Amino acid sequence: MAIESTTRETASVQTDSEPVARQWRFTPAYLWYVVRRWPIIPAVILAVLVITGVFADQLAPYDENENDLRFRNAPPRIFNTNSEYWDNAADLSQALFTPGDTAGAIKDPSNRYILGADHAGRDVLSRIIHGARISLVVTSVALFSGLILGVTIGVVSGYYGGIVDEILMRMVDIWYAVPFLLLAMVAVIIFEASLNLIIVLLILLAWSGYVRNLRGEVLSLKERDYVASARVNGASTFRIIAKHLLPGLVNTIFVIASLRVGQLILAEASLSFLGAGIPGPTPAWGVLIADGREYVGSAWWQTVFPGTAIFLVVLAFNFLGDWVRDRLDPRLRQLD
Amino acid sequence: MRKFLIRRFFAGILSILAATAIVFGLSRAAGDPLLLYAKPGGYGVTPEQEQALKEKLRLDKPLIVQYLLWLTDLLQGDFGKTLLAEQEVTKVIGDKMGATVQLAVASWVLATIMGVPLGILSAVLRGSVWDYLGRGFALIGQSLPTFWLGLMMILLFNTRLDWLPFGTRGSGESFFLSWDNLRYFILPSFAVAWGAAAVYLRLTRSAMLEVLDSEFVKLARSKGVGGTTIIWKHAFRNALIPPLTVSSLMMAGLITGSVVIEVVFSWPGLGRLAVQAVQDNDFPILTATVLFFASVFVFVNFITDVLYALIDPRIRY
Repeated sequence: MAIESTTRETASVQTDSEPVARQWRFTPAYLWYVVRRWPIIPAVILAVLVITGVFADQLAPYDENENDLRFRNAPPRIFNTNSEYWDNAADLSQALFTPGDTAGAIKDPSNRYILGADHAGRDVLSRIIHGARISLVVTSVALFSGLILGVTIGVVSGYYGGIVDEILMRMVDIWYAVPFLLLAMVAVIIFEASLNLIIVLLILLAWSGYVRNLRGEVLSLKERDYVASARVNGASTFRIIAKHLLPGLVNTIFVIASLRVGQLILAEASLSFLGAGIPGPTPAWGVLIADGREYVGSAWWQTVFPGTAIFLVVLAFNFLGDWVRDRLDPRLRQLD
Repeated sequence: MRKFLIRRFFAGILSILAATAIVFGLSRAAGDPLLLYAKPGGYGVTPEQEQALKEKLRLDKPLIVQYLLWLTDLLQGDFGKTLLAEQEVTKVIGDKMGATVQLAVASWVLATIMGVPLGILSAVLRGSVWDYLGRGFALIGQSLPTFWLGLMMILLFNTRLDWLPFGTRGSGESFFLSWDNLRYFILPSFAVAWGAAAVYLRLTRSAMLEVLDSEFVKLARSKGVGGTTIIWKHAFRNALIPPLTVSSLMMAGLITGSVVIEVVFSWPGLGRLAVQAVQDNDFPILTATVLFFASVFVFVNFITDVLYALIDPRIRY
């Protein structure tokens, strides 16, 4: 896979400068050095997220909404645990259904309910895999739309200044004072929860982070000599912004975006958990946890596994965001 | 400074007004606003009641007049009645307010006593095991979904270990600070506080590192001032400014966190009330809750501005 090859490449590049690793390339100390220097573990987690999201239909062992009430709250099968339950279950399905009735027997017992079943007998693993796709789509659409909106407002505010700047900055101030989660709930009560609504809400959450920083950067960039000479040469405002200002902002935009992703995923999950986000039975991770909440004492796998998925993905994004920031723009250290 | 504070005060008022405008705009954006209060074919809405509702909402008047009259009602404390129980909204909110404020304050205190010392430790012992532990604690705290953390704590400390209770906030009969009362606070406030502590930790750490690297600390060192004095007297005071300024932003995080955590822990506060209102389609309750939270947020913001101007005399607006 792509990730493995990059790992190996970086490894070989590093060996040139690393005398320790010359005798034996993969000493524990050397591996620790590589892991500390490059965000390999987060990259792997995110690669897994993207791959499962894109190929969810192929990877999921079962349909995400297919249920089998005989296996309500069935425990997970990983590591060959709970074998007693599953032996009994096999007997049960033999007893309940006539021999030869393949539809009634446990289909492909080797991979059914690897991570257990939920309260309706749906495969938790398949639902998590399909949830990855939803998370991916919702977050990326909201992130990029919010980025475009936020960057536009920030650049316009900084470039034009004056009354435009004043109005836009007051808008940002006001927006910071509105409790987002509750406002989202008001929107939900009025428009009914839907996938489109949650995307719009997340865009509204995403844009504000860019404005202040980009405005500041534009304020300093637009005074530079090269911008002035472009203006003297008759470049249009659009050209100045697109060709002369934006390239200087790319690092900041990238850093803010990478620090923002985690928050968006968490906001989506929280809203879905409250029943104000993606409506069930769509297997968004927040919905899975909300569904499993009542059974947390008796069937922990319904909440533990989807929550771990959210946690790992957000952790990976946050870690990567920190790394990108340290690399690209150390001045933004104060940002978080 | 007075000019600055007056400006911030009016900016705050403007923010609250904007919040009311947004809520009002949303309520009129969805076609027939009557449907928010009474679903078509719903139970128990007689034509007379519908007529009364129409008059209350003043739907025959122009939109701007509707908004201004509604605003006047709000200013007089008339938030209407809840749809289900037909109680005064202000009374319902008032009953639940205490629980939420207590939880938010407990979480804030916990976040501060976890985040700030760990941040200092992390900065002073930079590169040591403690530094890595502190940063790991922060990274995990920022990445955990609050509601899931709450559920997992219930699973571990209540269901499995049976150490701590959850589900209510105690009988309220015993003394406020007694263990009998406080043990109900431990799980929910920690679940809310971890994320906030992470922000405090990172800010304190980076501010502390910056101050420890500054000229005046170097001068103090070269004069032979002891390590402890430098850390507490020279560095700590200056490093406190960034965490203080984000306290108000943090309040927003605590409010959001407590809404979710109140649902998880069945905490009888405003957050749970709001979520319940979404499920019951109880629009007046939700409006009042949003406006209440917005006002609290603006108020805390203002206080922070005042403190900020008092603590750091270099800041002149």
